[in-house]
Amino acid sequence: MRIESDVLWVQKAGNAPSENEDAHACSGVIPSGGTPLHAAVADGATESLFSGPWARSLAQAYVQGLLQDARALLEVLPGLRRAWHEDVGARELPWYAREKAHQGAFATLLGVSVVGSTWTALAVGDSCLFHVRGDVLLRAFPVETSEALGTNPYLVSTHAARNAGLEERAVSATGNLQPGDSLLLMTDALACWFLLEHEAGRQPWRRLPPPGAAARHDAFVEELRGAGRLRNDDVTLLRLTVGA
Amino acid sequence: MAYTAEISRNHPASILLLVDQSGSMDDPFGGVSGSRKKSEGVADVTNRLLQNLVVRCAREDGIRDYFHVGVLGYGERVGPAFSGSLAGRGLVPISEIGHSPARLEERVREREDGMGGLVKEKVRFPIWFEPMANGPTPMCEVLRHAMELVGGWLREHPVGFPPLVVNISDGQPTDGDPTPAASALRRLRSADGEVLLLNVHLSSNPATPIQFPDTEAGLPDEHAQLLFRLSSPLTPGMHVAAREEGHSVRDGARGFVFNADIVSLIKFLNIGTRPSNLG
Repeated sequence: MRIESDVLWVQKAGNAPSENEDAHACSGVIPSGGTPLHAAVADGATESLFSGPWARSLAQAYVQGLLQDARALLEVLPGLRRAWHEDVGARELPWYAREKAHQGAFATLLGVSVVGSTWTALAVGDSCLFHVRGDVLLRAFPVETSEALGTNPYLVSTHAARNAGLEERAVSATGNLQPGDSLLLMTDALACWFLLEHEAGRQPWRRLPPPGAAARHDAFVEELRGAGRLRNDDVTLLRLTVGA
Repeated sequence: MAYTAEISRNHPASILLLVDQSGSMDDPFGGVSGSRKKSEGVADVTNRLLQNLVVRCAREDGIRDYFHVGVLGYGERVGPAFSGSLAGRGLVPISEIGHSPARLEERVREREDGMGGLVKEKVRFPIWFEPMANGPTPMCEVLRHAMELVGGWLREHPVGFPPLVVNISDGQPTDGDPTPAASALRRLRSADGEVLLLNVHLSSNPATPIQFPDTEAGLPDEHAQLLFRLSSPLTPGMHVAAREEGHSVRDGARGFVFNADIVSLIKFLNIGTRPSNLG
């Protein structure tokens, strides 16, 4: 079973690409002989400072195989938090940035690992995984309806005191893959569009630009935003496509 | 639907604070810290509101101008009330406010070290507005002044999120009934809705703090009842923000607090993903 990955990554309209606080990572390994493939997206909260670096550190830790389940996440987080605090603490910051950093950084985490023909996923927050087979959406995880996507999700924080109950909030799922399947990892704005389309009886996965069509990403996102069907936010799609 | 316009750097929102600086503000404050003067309570509320707005707009690259904010004082005189280099200015981009406090007070507090422990750190608390208590309470006049400023803003920003006006007072106007002026101010509108008028009542009355009541029946005195009547109903977004803060708000609740905090209500101004566990 061969798995290809591709990414659509477009910043919020009006922002520079460097202001995109979504992160994504993929180990890029084609699973064979039991070697797992790890992929992750993490959405840094725009209302926290240095959330982009925090999202990147979470996504990267996941694809290194360090955050497979809630227990592993709890074990690894103190080290990731310390690195964030050391980085931010060493910076010369004006009063407002120091005050905001004091509140901590926040990000979602959605990680997917594939071993053989089995996928497992770990999620905190409202980044979503969709498992598609042919004409059917087999699974939406961890959010199943557009209505359940709010603007105030529970997120992974750089501050332990802000993450009481994290173990219960970190949820897992698993499923089996067949050739031709897709696993779509999305941050919340695109996931909301995807769920709304599906709830209307359509097959939104067929609207996504095909793999290798990077030049069409901006136009695809702009069209949806222009039609009022996609909230203006950073957009990330990390797609895993299962070959023969 | 009203009050849903996106707040962005291209479409900023305006917030105008009206601050009572009359002689009666020299009286003691009946809230949690009863020995303090109301004028000190007002200065504290104003500076913390400004600080909160600046911090919300702070990003790695600086302060983004999601808001333009003004402070009008009313007492011996009515007019812009920033101290320091912003003195005399009306609605000011939030980045300028963040970069121009009149002074920074140094305080010490504890912060997390990321490993569950605490370390002490020095912080600089910004001051833009100093306590003042002198003269009458020309609330009608300041509301008319607010109409001019907000009206000018609406002419330049006719489709954006409607201006928010926050009146911080002990509720004892000396220039007549402010009801007509407040009604006229609330009738100004952008394509996204009418101007929102919120009232923060800082009183010498030691009654229990009240947040977002839906009736004036249980309010402790006629001053509170007056300010309640001047206040806009909470928008759906404010209802959600207030509930997320743990307040049991009912239909008909208004943007009025008695000897209590208004910062929680400012959180409804949506400028991006806000984690539920940010606090």
